[in-house]
Amino acid sequence: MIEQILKIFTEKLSRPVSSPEEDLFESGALDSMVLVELLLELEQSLGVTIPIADLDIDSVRTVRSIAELAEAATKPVAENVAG
Amino acid sequence: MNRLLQQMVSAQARQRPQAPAIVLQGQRICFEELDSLSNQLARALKQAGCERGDRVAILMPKSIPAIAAILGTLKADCAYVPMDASSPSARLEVMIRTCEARCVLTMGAAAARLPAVLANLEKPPFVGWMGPNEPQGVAAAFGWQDLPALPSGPIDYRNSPQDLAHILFTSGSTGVPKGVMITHANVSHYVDWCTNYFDYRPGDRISGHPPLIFDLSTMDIYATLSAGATLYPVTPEMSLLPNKLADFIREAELTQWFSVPSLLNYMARFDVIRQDDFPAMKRLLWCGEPFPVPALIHWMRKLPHVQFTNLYGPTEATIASSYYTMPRVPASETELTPIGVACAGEDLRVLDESRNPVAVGEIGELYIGGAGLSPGYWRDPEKTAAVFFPDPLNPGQRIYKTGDLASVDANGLFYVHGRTDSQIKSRGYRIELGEIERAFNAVAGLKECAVVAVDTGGFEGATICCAYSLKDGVELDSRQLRSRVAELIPSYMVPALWLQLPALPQNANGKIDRPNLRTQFQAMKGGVASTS
Repeated sequence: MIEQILKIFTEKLSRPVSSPEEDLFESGALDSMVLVELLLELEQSLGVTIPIADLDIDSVRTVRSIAELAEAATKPVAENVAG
Repeated sequence: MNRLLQQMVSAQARQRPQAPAIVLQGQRICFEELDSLSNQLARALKQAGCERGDRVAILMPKSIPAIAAILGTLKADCAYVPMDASSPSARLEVMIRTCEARCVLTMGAAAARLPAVLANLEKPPFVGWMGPNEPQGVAAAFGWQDLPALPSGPIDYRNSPQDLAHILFTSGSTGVPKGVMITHANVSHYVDWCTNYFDYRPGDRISGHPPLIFDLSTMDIYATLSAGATLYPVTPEMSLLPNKLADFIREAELTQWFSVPSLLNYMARFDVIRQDDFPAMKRLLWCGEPFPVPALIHWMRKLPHVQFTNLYGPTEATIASSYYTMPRVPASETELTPIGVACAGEDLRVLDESRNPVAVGEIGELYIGGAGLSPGYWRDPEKTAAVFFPDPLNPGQRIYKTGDLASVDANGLFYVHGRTDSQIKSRGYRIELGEIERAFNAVAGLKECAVVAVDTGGFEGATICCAYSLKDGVELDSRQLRSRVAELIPSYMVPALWLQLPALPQNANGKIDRPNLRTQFQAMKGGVASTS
């Protein structure tokens, strides 16, 4: 998931991120515009829908934390599909 | 108008000393404290050498100390020059050099870069440290901890309403930011209209969303504080997540929200506003660019108890020059929202190329006259003369050429239809594409470069796109290029879309074919090409 999100930042958002730990606010890679596009990309490319209510500042601060959020969002969906 | 901006705030400190003036993330300051603190700061500035008419750069994040610093500067008979702490050092240096700042008031993250910003200046300003724990290397003339020892009582002012209150730098097409000079009278005239028309009252809780470098922020600060209402500054971090921002508006029980429409569009897209949400809210205002009509309809249906008003006006005519309060929800998504009619004391005219009025419904260029007109650009008579002209109808007065295309309908309502030049709006920021191209010119290895704007259907206005080609043998990817130009221009100017080509397309005249590039970027994003 981390690799896929790094790839989205570089290829889809034109905001290359150097590491999963980079503080995206400090580096300027993430602002509200990029955040919307990121959420759209997660839906379109990876089929992951992150509920807006789950977002807080720290959950989107690094690629690693975004990946955790995305993985958490995938699980219930997978169970539903299985069930 | 015989008032100075700081006097409008001090009057409230006498009337309601304990009422909250500013509330920000659990911190609050009452009118009396704000008045005393800014008196102390004014004394510190004067003791350190500031004289009437000097410029004081404010390099601080939006905060209670930043607003105290602004008022303290005015009380020292100086003009403040707000600067974006996230701007590249090179750009900060240009602005400080251009305005010949006597002093820089600073705190927080900007401090680390301050030595680099000041190192090359012939006459470096002295530094006032506005936060706790002055870091090493700042060498401040005075600090926050020195203020309590200074007298906090009223100060005598020598400034008149015609003196400068602030200088606001905006993007310049030649690559150098232009400093728009704004007087106390410019702002107080608008504040009188604004507080009267919108009926600001003590007890109102009013948002402060625009950054301090936008002139829209001066409406929030002075209209709110002069009315004895409470200002709720909104930091960039607070508005990053639409759900959190809605929580904040709800919990703070704001009575007025004012921002650029891109943010309102963003909140609409995420559907974070409930039906009949924000019951305390009376007014929602926007300015800076058109509010996309589908999002406006969304907001108006969700909040039927709120008055929605569109404000329009360039910095050169101070905050806003015209207004339009929506009489009803727009009937269709393609209905153009008017910019309305002139605010009291202001004058809007649509003129042709010979500066004669155009007929009803015809498109011409919008000119503004009246009380809001800036004296011009800081130490730049040439640029001033290019857009400020003698008013043919009122001898001795001036009119300002906005660069906006406009028309007037039979009811006297004004409409804007785009630009006459390559200036664009992105997230409310006014950007000259030429300034971005200039920054690329400074990067070695580039053969050609063109910056165009494309409307990608996003919510933040135009998307800035850069197409470039490289000299033979040079290897430079968009990531490296991005980081080079980010050292020269602020992040809101850095292109979001990149395209490396063997050579840029040319039109029949041998010039770069910008429409062709816009179409290519449009295809990359699946959006609609803009005419900018």
